[in-house]
Amino acid sequence: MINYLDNGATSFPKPCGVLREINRCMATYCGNPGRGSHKMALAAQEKLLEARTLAAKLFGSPYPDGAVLTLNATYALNLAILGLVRAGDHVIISDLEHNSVLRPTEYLKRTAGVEYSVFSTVGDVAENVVSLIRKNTRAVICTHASNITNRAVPIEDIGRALSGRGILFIVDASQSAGSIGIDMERMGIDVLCAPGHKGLLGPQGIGIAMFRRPMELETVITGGSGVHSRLLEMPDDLPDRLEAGTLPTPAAAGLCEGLKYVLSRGEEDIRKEETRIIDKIRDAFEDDRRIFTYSEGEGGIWLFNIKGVPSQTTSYLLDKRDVCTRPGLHCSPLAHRTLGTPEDGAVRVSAGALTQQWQADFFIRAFRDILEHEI
Amino acid sequence: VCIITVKTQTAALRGKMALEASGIAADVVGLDSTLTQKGCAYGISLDCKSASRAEGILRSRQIPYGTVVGRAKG
Repeated sequence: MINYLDNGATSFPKPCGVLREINRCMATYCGNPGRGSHKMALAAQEKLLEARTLAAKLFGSPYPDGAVLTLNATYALNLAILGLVRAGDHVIISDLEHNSVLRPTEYLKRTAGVEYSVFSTVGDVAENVVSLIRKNTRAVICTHASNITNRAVPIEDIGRALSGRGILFIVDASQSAGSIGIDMERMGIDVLCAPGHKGLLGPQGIGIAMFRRPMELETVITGGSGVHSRLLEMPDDLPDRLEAGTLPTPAAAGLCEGLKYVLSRGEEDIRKEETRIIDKIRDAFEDDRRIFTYSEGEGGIWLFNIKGVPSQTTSYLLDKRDVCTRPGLHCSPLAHRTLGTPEDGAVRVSAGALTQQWQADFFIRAFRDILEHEI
Repeated sequence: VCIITVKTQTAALRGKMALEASGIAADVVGLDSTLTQKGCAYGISLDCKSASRAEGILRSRQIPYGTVVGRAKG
């Protein structure tokens, strides 16, 4: 039996409804959405529309057509950042950013003279952001919750601080969507980016860039859109402007069921259970002086190292005992630097919406065995 | 039959659903090339008698649409 504790990378298992709907889609209605108006093309389009509508409901957006379906959160962030930030602009990012924000920002610095500042996520975070604002600040781009610690950025405070300043607020909800409640209107978020395959419990191959209102956007990917084919540019309206090429209808079908699961159970209950599982694991080794914990607060992540043991080795030894964890830098070297982990990173144990209590006991037994026999 | 033109299939489908929820039978149709200069586009077909009410519903739901044209071709 495999004990999967790598939900920070992708959630597993998925609700049964997700698997069923993907199968049903592939077997009965997987036409090409937006290409033609026959029954199967429209059935596929209806499924996409359902995904957009459910996502808008979950994220508190009044504009479901602003739910652009993408390959994953990284694509969503690239569409938003490269589409909205212009040459000569200044942007502000947090010290917990994943490479999905850091690399497009660096790319803009290199190619378009965009400058960026990094704010600290400790102390008065909103004030930290405000202190970095310049005349040409175009956007604040930040993660909602880090993928290596449970630290959540107070995005509502930041949204309030940005209100009326004409600065765009782009939030990476890769680790929070599905486990922390988000209300784009109330929080003042202009664009929210999320993967479908993590806390939203859908399959890999789909993500969302949720724009809260129509915006003027440069395109990053262009091509077939199914409409206005004689024009040499993508259509103006969302979502079509940013959705070049055929969309993954089966993945959207699965995502719909994942979204329904989250909407029905509620983020609060999901996070509470994830926290309970991780607390049990962490607490079991709290007094062991060989273990160093980096993560903090409530949530589904425990980031740790065994003193003197590379994270890759620890994760390998856990895998030998059928426990799946993730070592290394988790594509977030900036966040690791902020937390002060060693050069080779740390081991992340991450629970998800469908992780069960027995998995905590299984982990504890396996890890004790490692500590007793391998270290 | 009248056709209300819209820019995208997403808007067409959303419009169809809104109209049907208000008791107006509607279908999503691809537009004949004589109705669009930009290439492939979509519309919502419905009984012409319901066109004015349908426009009001689309406006109230903030579903962008173009014009109402006469009979569908082919």
